Parts: sequence; structure tokens; C-alpha cells
Amino acid sequence: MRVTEKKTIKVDGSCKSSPVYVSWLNVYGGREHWLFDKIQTKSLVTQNGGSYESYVSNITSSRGFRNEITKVARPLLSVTAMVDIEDIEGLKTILYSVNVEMLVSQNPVKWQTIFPQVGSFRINDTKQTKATIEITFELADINIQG
Amino acid sequence: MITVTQDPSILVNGRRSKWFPVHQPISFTLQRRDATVRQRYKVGNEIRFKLNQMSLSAKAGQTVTYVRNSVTVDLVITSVTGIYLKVAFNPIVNSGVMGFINFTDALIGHYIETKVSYIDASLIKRTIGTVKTKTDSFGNSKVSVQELLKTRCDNSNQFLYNVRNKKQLNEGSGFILDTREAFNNIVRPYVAGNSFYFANGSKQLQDPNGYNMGEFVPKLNFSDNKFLSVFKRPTYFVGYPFSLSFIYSDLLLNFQIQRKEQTKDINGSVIANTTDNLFSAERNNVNRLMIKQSYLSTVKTLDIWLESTGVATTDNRTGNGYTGGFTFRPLRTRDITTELEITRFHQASFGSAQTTSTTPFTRNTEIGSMIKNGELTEIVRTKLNVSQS
Repeated sequence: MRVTEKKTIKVDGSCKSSPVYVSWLNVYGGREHWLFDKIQTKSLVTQNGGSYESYVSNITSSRGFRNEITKVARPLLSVTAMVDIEDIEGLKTILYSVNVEMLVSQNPVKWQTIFPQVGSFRINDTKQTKATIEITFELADINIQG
Repeated sequence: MITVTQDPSILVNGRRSKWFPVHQPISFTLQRRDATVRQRYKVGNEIRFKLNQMSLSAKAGQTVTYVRNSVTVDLVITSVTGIYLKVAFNPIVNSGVMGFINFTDALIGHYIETKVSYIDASLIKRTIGTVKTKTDSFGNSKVSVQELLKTRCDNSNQFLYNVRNKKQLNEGSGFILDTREAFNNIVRPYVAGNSFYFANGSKQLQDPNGYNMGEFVPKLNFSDNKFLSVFKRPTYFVGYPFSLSFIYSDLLLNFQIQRKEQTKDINGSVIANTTDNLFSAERNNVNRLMIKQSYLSTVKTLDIWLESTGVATTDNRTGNGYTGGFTFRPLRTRDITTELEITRFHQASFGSAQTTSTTPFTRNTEIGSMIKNGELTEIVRTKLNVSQS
């Protein structure tokens, strides 16, 4: 006798270009998985962590007045996926998940925590049976002196 | 005496669901009943109670609280004799069911202490923390344990994607409430409570099951219990780690659960059916379920579900999970040798006459020598729950 629902799983064996595999915690406490592919844009957001001016006694040999204290550098990764309309409801939940992880190694399985940018979910062209979605993830900050 | 009068478990499809989302209130009501009333009658201008027990420090002039259903009355004792208690006549008291009495004055500084424990990976009960509460005029006190349980959750993905099904202690597990009371500078021993379970989730507004994971808890008499997935049809990307989360519930005790898969081609025609047994030792936790994988390239979708063979099997790993059965731990060879050493120590120090409880020790000595001689057969091992660790 059956004790759970019959869950249909779609098997996607197609070749992917620029794949990014992500797993996230849903509100029920379960774990979801998705493979983003196609366009993958990398960008970097940097911020100044302040600077100070030093005293220069000999202007002839000085290298300059201003010195940096630190910087903040946060890599961004924009990913897209061509998905069925029915998948959008599930994929949306990634935006309010408290733990999103990106696969960085398959054997053994290793993950790195990433952060979807707030409100960065975009659905293009919903009239079709498939839609392109785009999400921007903030990756781990680069460790910098200071 | 302390009893749990209200717990957040509910009946879903006729079966009790004891699984709660840990990010929302998990509240229990405990009731203090110092003495139950056996008889109650009017004598002149007084009411006489016959109780099941009497507090040693109860005496005339003290206030006691009489509780009956929704009635609670403070009464002043006029005399105490054995298990008999007399108070001034009060018409509210002298009707309805018998009720019970709390010795409000006699038991000074009364409080209830609730110990919250979780079950670790080797099925050992470990304490998370305790909560101290005072009771109200009805003898009730409310205890919310979600904040303690939350400390056991970890949002990150700890599954290694290398086994058919595996319990995830950080995603949902069991907990037990033990209660004790303290008064007059005496702390009474803990009384073990029932087992309950939590999942690292939260429920939405106007959910029919409220703060309960009911619809996700597999029950033998209902076939549409849900997996913990928000996708209508999740996608398996070939070659990438994939799993489904589900509650391997306490209600599946003693039944072999199987993973059933039916693969289909692009036209929905069945390609193959497969059956694999789940590992029952992973029960009573939130589990990850892997799919069989290595499919033919023609497989476009697959249906997956869990099924019970319907045949009861004896599962000696844990109890029924409701009456603290979790505390049971299989005896390991290591434990036996330790006890054997203790026996030897006792015999060496005090002589065999000092070993008062000889029966278990003799038995363990026998087992110990059997292990040493390599005579411990599989049958004996099964019978004694001895695992080779």
C-alpha cells in the first residue's frame, strides 16, 4: 500500500552550457535543486572601506597623500534558465530561502553558500509554454587586507 | 503529579501527527495535581474531602486550591486527619465531578521543570536545556520548546548524496520532554515523557493543520502524504546530485517501506518498474531520498513514491517512538566487556559474595566468554541485540 503521493520527476539529460547547480532550503524544511544554464554574467561590486591621509614630510620623494584602509569586493553571478511555466512557482521560492548553496565539487559533493539578490527575479515572456528566468546571486566576498 | 494535558499533536486522516515546524510555537500544557479527590461530602457546616494522598506539611489555616473542570476555588483548611481534609462549606465546591486539590500553601516555592532532550545520531537521548515554570490557579502551566529545538537545526545541506535514504538530524528529528516538580527545597526525579518530532520548516497562514506537519507525515492508511518539495514536478538534471526530502515518520514503525519508481518515455509509456527497500534505521527523522539514477536515455519522466509491503516486520532498533521508546539503545560488545570488567573488579575487591545482583553479571560473563571464544552466533546476537561495533 502506498504511503506517499506519486511524485513525477522530469528527467533532463540535455547538454548544458555554462551550468550553475544550486540547492536551497524550502519553507517546508526540504531541499530543492536546480541547474541554471545558458547566459551567465559575472560582475563585481566594490566599495571603499575608507581612506586616510598621511603626513608627508618630504614632498619631493612622497608617493602620495592618500592611503586605503580596506575595500569590499563582492562577486555577482547572473544566471538564467529556460523553464516550464509550472516550474516558476517552485523556482520563485529560491528568493526567500534562508539557505542557498552552489555546487562547487561533485566528488565529494561540496557546496558554497550564495545569496540571491533581493527582488532580482524576472520572468520574460510568460505567454509561451516556456519562460526564461534570470536570477542574480551574490557570491562570497573576496577577503582583502584591512 | 505532573501530567501533560495538552500537546500540539493532531489527528490527520485518523492518525496522530506528532511532527511540528520548529520555527513556530510548539506549546505543551502541563498540569499539577497534588491530590485527587476520592470522596466529597457535607458534614454540618463543613465539606469533607477524602484524598488519594495528603501532603505531610498540610495543616489547618493553610489555603488549598480546589480545581474541577472550569472551576477553581481557594479554600482554607479547618482540619487535617490522615487523608481527610475539612474546609468551610462552599456550595460551588459541593457539586459536579470530584476534581483535585493543590496544596498551594503547604508546598512552598512549587515549580515545574521541563527538560527538553533530542536524539543524537547513535539514538542516545541528550539534553538541550530545561524550562522552569509556575502554575496558574488551575494548576496549569504552558511550556514552549521551539527556541530550544531550533538550536538543533542547521540550514545548510549536509547530505552527501551517496545512499538511498538517510536521516538528516539538522533538518528534523525527535525530541522528548521530561518533567519534574520541586517544592519545599525538594527536587523530585524526572518523569520521562513522550517522543515528539520537529522539522526545520514553517507553515503558512490558514493552513488546515495549523502548526503541524500533518500532511507531510506518511501514514499507512492514507496514500497521498506529501514529499517536502514545493515543485509540482521537480526536475532531475542527469549527473547532478538530486534528492527528495520526506518525513520518515514514526507511524511507519514495524513496516518495511520501499521506494517505488516507474520510468516513462516521452509518450508516457512505461519503460521499467523498480522496487528498493528503504533503510528503516533512518526512521523518526526527516530523510533524503535519492532516485535510482542511471536511466536509459529514453526516460523522460519518472513517478516515484513510497510503499509499504503491508507485512509487519519486527524492527528492534527503536520503540514505538511515543512513550520514550527512543531511549532504547542496542547493547554493544563494548558495553558488555565494560560490565564484565566491572564484575571482575567487584569480585576481586569484595569477593563474589558482594556482587548482589549476580544474575545479569553471570549472564554477561557468559556472553563475554562467548565473544572471547568466538562462539557468539548470529542467532544469539540477534536475540540479545548485540551488534559488532
